[in-house]
Amino acid sequence: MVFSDLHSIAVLFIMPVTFMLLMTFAMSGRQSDMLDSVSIYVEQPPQQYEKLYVQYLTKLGYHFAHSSDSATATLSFSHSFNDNVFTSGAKNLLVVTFSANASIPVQTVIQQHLELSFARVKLHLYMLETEELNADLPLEQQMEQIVKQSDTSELIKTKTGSLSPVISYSIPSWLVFGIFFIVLPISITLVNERQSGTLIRLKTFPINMYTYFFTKLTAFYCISLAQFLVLVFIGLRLVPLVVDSAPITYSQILHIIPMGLFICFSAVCFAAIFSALVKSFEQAIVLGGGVNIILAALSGFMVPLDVMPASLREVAQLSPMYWAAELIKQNMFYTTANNSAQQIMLLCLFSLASLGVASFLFSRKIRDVLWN
Amino acid sequence: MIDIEVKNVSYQYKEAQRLSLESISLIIPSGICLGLIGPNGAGKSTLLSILSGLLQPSSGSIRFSQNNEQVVNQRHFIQENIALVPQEYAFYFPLSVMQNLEYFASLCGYSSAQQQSAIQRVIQECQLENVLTQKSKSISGGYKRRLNLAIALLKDPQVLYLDEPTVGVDPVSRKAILALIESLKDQHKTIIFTSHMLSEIEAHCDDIYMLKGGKAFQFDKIQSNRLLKVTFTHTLAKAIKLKVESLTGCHISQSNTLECQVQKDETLWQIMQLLQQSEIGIHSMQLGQNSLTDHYLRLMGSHDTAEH
Repeated sequence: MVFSDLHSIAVLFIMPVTFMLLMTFAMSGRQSDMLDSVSIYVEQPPQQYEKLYVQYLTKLGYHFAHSSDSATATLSFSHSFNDNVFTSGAKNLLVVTFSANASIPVQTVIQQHLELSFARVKLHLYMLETEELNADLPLEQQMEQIVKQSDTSELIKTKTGSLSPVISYSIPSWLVFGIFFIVLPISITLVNERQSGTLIRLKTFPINMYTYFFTKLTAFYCISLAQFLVLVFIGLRLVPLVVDSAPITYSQILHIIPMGLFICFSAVCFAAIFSALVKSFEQAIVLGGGVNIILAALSGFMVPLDVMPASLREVAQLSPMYWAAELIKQNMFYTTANNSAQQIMLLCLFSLASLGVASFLFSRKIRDVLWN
Repeated sequence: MIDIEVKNVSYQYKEAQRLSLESISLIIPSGICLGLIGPNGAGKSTLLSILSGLLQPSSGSIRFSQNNEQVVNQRHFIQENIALVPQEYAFYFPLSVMQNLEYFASLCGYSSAQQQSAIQRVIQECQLENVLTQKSKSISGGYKRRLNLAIALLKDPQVLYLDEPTVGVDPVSRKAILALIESLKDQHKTIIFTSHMLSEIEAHCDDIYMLKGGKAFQFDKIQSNRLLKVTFTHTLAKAIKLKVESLTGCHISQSNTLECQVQKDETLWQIMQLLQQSEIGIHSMQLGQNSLTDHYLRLMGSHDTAEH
């Protein structure tokens, strides 16, 4: 029945795949791409060292706006900039004003670049004074020498897995988000049965209504497992190709697939609560969909956890969506140190508790079903 | 043979201020077709919910007897012997007609062979042969009603509750559904039939109850439906007017017309005697069957039956 319902297919397959693609693509941009859309406005025409400072910013890839209205950040040099730039303990030599549209990550990057440019100007002036830098060289060459001197990237070695961090972050999140959306088909099926009188009819058939309810949940569990397999394949094999990243290996996928048993179980049990609770399509969409979106936001799917305040990071640890996404992430990079057992246990406890609540609510729902 | 006895049943919903059913008593002998009529909110659905075991009465009792022996486990009995046909299409639209029949048959506790036999039986009874492979959502309203009924018949119930089984169907399907109801009556199944189509109730039900304000009123189809209408040549004198109006069920509808609901033959003779004594000229006299609709409207408090 679910597969002949276009809305269910859209919710279970098309929506999560679209999210995976969009969000992975959105997060795959490099810093250089980000600076393309950033512009800086300098309030007064720069003089002497201010000019040098602005040139260092240009070297970092910034371009300059003609007015503060169109700029991401506006720079205002202090009158004492040229006198005090080399003085230790000087303060407020530069005032930066960010536009309301500048996001926190962009502001952070600009702030870091402003500080780096200060450091380079100071080093430049110092090396000129100590004559380590040849003042007769063209300014461009002097700057290149300073940039080379201050480049510390060679000192740090970054070790990342074979998989792009964007894939390893984004795909598990949106995959779990899609799996938990099983709540809509389950709830809508039960609302349909209630409103059409089928539930009343079934109540007078020689069947146990709990058996009927759990059989239905089992059918949806099978659908959820099929959805998991499809989304794992699309998310971890096809989406990386679209965003020009290496796809995950089949042996890694083999580690992830058994986790689907627990993730889908928790999603179906959680959905069972809403299916037993809601009485109309509107309630199913608002409650089922709304709670899923809130849980996804709390679990760090929309805003990465590492940029969230500590209190919200702690709340995320209580979310079943977070446990499910962590379970997938840990098994993507299967190591002996992973704590899948803990996540599995949490998911199982959550599932059993949800099932208990759902059974209670379903018994009330069945009791209240009357002839219309 | 299943008899149902409803004894002093009252029901009040938690949030309601008055009783939905007030001390209802009725006996439904096996094999009877009982019509249940009444305005919306009169308590028909509540009574059907109680008869289906979906609600427990606030007071009073329901007793099912099978072959004169009282049923002990009512829940099991209802599941085995009673089927409901809700007014809504209580089946799965994305499935085909055959898939719906197979699904519901699988819930009846039949063996595979019994399932097949039950499915074939209801296909034939409800004349669904032409639409078996079609999606249930795409068949006509008439076929949807027949499928609704067919699903209920799968478990071969002894008692059938039909809620507006012909609402919104074309005349051909209506005829087929009503013919099926007649054939179920021939099989001595007990049928409780609610409808706002009073002519259907009148034509097919053996006994009719009207629910109004939570109370049940029984119609006696033959006796209660006689209407005597006498038109006089002159306006009636006040003294005669008072005399005829003192007779049960009689009233002067116009200055020279007398209408009487005649329940008993004695009343008819009484009226004749009175008219003879008064020596008033009679222009016309009619004794006819009063339709259920007239009677229903009169009981509902409408006096203007002429319009209907």
